[in-house]
Amino acid sequence: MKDERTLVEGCRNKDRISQRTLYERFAGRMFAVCQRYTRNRFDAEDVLQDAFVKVFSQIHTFRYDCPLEAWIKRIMINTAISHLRKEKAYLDQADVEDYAEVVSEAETTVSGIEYQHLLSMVRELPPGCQSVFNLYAIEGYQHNEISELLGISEGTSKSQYARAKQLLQAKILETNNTNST
Amino acid sequence: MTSSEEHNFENNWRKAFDNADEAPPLSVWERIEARLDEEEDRVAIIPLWQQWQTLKWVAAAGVTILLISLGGWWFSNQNDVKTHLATKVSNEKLSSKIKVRERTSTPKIEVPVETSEIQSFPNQGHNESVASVKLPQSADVDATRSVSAKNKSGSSKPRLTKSDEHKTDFPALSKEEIWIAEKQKNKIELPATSLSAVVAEETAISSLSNSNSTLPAVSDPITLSTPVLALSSLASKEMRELIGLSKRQPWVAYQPIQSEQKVQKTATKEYWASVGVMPASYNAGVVIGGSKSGLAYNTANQNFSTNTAQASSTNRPSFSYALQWQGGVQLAQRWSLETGLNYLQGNSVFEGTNGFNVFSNSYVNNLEAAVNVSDNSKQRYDFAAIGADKSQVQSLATSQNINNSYQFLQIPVQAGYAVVKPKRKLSLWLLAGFINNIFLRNSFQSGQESTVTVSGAGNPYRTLSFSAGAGMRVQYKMNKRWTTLLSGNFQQALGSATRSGTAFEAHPQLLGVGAGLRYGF
Repeated sequence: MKDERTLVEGCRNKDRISQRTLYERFAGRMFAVCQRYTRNRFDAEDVLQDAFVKVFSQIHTFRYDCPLEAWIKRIMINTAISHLRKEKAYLDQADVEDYAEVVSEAETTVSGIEYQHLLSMVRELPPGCQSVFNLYAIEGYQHNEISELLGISEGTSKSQYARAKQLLQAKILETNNTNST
Repeated sequence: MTSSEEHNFENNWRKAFDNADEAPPLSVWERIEARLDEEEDRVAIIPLWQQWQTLKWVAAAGVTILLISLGGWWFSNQNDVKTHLATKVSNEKLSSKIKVRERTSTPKIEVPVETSEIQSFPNQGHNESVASVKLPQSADVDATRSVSAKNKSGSSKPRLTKSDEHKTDFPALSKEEIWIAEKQKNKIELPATSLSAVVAEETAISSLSNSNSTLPAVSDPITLSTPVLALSSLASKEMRELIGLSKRQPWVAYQPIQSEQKVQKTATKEYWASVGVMPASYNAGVVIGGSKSGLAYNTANQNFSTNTAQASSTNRPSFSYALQWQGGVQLAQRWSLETGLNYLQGNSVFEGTNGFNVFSNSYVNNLEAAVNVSDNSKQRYDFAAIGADKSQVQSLATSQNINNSYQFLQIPVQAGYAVVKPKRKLSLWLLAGFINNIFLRNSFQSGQESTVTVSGAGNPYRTLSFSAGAGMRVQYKMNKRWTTLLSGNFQQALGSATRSGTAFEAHPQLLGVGAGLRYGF
């Protein structure tokens, strides 16, 4: 914690070494987060770059009331979603009833599937579904929170998530069947 | 799928991505660094008139210091008494009358010390500068922001339209936002952790601030109602602790980044104090003669000493040093104003001649003779009276390297310009200014190999003399407060360090390389 404070204070003083240290400490995990929210590696790099610039410019607002990594991750997600909003990725609004198909749990386990494969599955989701899936399933937000964040209705959020889940389950099933044969 | 199965589905995916770590390419950091450099290079947009306001005080302080120095110099000049050469040594061989010049009190030179004037500049740059748009600064302003608004029909739309996103009113933004945030906070009592979990966004409620100066009503569906609702919905939950990434994190509405916004920095002045030592090469630049009475002395001297007292002006520098206590203020990113107090021990060698003086019955070198002639407190030789009798003159002139040392207090006033900007560890500064030299003491070897000390009232040196100074300084910023300094300095006297009418002149020159340590406030 003391080390974290020193790092934050150094960044507040615009000390380049402190900034570089903070970047190197968190860049790996944050890049993985950015990759989940974007469609390709180049977009992920852009989001990572924008987000860290914002981290350094907003570091004076960090109050030490949460882990620094969590604070930085929020900025990453903010920036990624802002990036997606520019691309107007939330125009599709599907009804939740269309995606109510149930698949058993045993066929949808992700264990045994490589991280990169899982990442590509998430990236192949439609943009709206991808963000909702990340926010709901990975980050743990509720649909009403997601709706406020993304500027969509709660119903759309639920519908997008259901669609994302269905698509992912289908992909996992296909992958598991391929692996078992 | 049951809720437990759904929960497992999410848990499985969350576990798969929890510890994901992939190093980005090096080019990402390089781009980040370039953007950080760009933002730091972006000059604080202080209106020109504010710069003039600041510079006005700087100019006033500089002129004040200059006027005080000039006044002291003029005052000390007024107290010079013309030396009289016609006096006789009170010994059994000569009858002499000594005219002692009226003792005058040592002119008081009031010189500013350290940085008191500089630090007294009103900080108008801060008060008047455009407010930063990096919002918010206080915890209160870190109140929640709403992202989207739902109109009454229930359909959703983004809260901020493109036109809204570009509306900015930076000077008023902070105060209104702070007020709004405080209002929101007062309306909704949230645990401290919830408010503190918010990420401050730059645009924040820009659309709110663009409305009239009074706050929009709570019933406005586009503005406060949505943030209020958002906060209420969050307040009804037990806010989750932010322990780790895998746990749910409280989400707070945010505003998208507006890349077109200009981030304005408020300029902050940095004051510092430093100590240092500067080994130097000091050349006293003594010239015997060169003035009317000096020439008269030389002429008269030659009457009794054919081989002595030729106008000698050969000086060699010798190892010297200066102890420096300085302070300064950084006016802008590239400019600084500095002053301080130095103690200079300047040692040099004067290549003079030594001869036996029948009048003093001792060996006297020409520097000593010149000083004696010039010193109003010393007895004078009546050269005119004795010069005609050459039988009284006996001399065996030899050359003598006369160690000649000076002690000064120096008050430098100089400006610094950063050739290499101080945005990283290393910076390079050019320095230029003038130095007020306050004479303390002069010591030199006499013809008898003893030491003659010149000081006090009536001595031939000006109490205050001036030098021009220039230099270059390398600064290495070790941390936020401490900086190491390495500087090269050159000083050249402006005019003679001796009073007018003396038998010799001194135009000291100094070249030194100093090291120091600075503490920034």
